[in-house]
Amino acid sequence: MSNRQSDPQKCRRASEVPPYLQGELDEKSRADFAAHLAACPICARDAESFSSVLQELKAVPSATATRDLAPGILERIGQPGSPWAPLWLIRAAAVLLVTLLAGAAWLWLTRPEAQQQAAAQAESNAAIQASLDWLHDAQQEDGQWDATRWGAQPMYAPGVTALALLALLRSDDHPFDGVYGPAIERGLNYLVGIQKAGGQFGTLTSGTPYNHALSTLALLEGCRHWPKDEWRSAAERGVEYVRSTQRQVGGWGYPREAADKANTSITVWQLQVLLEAQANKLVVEPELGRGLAWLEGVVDEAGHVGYSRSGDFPYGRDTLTAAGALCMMMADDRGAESADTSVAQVLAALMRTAEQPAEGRDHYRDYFLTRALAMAGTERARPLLAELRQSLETAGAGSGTPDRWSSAGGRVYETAMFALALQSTR
Amino acid sequence: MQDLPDHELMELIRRGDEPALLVLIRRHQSALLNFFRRLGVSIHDAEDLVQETLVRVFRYRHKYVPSAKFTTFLYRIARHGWIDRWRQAQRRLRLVEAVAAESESEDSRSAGRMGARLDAQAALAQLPEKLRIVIVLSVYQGMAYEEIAATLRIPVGTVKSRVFLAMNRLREVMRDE
Repeated sequence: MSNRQSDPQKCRRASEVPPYLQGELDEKSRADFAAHLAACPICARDAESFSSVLQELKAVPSATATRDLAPGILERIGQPGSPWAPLWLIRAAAVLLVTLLAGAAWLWLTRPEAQQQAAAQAESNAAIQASLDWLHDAQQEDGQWDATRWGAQPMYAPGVTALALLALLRSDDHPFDGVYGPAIERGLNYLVGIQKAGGQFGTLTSGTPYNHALSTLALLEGCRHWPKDEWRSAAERGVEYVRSTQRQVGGWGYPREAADKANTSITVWQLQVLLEAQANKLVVEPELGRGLAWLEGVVDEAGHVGYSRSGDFPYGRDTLTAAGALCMMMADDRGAESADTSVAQVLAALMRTAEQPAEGRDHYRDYFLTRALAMAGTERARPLLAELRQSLETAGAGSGTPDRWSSAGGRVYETAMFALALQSTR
Repeated sequence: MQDLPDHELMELIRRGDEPALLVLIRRHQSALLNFFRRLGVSIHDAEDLVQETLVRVFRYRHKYVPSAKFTTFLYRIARHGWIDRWRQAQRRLRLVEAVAAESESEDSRSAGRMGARLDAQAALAQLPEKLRIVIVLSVYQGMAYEEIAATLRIPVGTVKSRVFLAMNRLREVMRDE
């Protein structure tokens, strides 16, 4: 039987040439194909040319590292959460470092660049650690963070608990193995306990879209590390609730508003839920696609993201633009179809936003800006991110720095958002 | 310790043995560096990716199953790092295109330099990601098709057909040059 196909220039056994040349065939197959090669001029020609391609590829010289990479790896590993950096040591080091830095600031300026970077990283880690420790200590026994006690409006209680959980969850690649593991577990169990029959977390109020999205996000992120059945089930119901509350226009809005009203502030949180759910292999279409399309529809020509429509900025445009950029990039990373021009325009606007000096502290803005800049990872974004990190470190004792949203979220919001923003700069 | 196989080193690393980690790093850093370079990454970014990969190996040490080949685990992590970086680069290009003033960015200049360096490497750089990685793993990292299949989580038959497609494309491109 002939191995030739109808095309006289092709042989159906041609795909066996590379494995033959690369020693992938067993002895019998190899002998069999060698016999075929002797009889098939097409495969013989391929064998000759592929062999020459392989030789040329192999002739490319090897690269050599410009430095020993091991010290840098060990340094990166020696961060919070590592068994080689126990918590008591980190805390002690943090206290010592802050004291040293305060007492010998002039030394800081004379350090070589690499040492400065390492010290900046350590300072950033210490600030994060201080915030996480405060959150850890402020948790109630039942797993929640008491909104009223820490100055938040009671209607945002589920949201502040979820924010604190997100900060603890992002403390380490294996958050349940670390010191915050039990606190995270208690907190997620608490969220499961307050989920209503319809899937929403907490009582229905105007704060529900935020409370709900943050709670679902915390459960989804928790499941990524520890897929407990009850958490996964609660997260799935949470995602379904998000899908079911999408407005006809494609965005999301306040529960008692007209059905055709949507806003970016709420929509970006629901999109983050759907994007995280998609990464968890849950069904999120067509709502995700429609939501992203709505978001693209509120982008103006300069790339700024509006609140309810293009050019609408009742509360400023920086945070919305950063949040919109973040969602678009997350979607882009996960292969969602979006208009490239919109993403590029919003990214360009994001850079311009980050270059403007901030008017006072705004944890909400900081959070979205740091996450978006880190995700952009461009040459222009990196120094902006470093600058923002420095500004955060300078600003913060880690907790209790009020901003314009503090009357809603209180100290737990301030502390968690501060930690989340700094975590994004790592 | 220098002679211990990878899976035994991983067992020690799991127990917090720092010297074992150093041995593992020094054993694989050069091969990893070349893996990234041959995928078309600049030397600076390749070094950064090597560090990132080995840090992740450490962070995910509890997920490594000793019965699996270590290099499968290692290059799966390495590939993820490269894909993330590649996406960032794509985004960067779009950003550069969107902001005309930035058209002379370091990225576009370095991309140009990379393309003109070596015939074979330039040809490799023109392959789509899916084809490029099977060639790099097979030709440079010396992996058997079965291990490539395990690393990329695709069937062995797919590896075979991708290598064949890649070889055909490379032959065409190299002839054109």
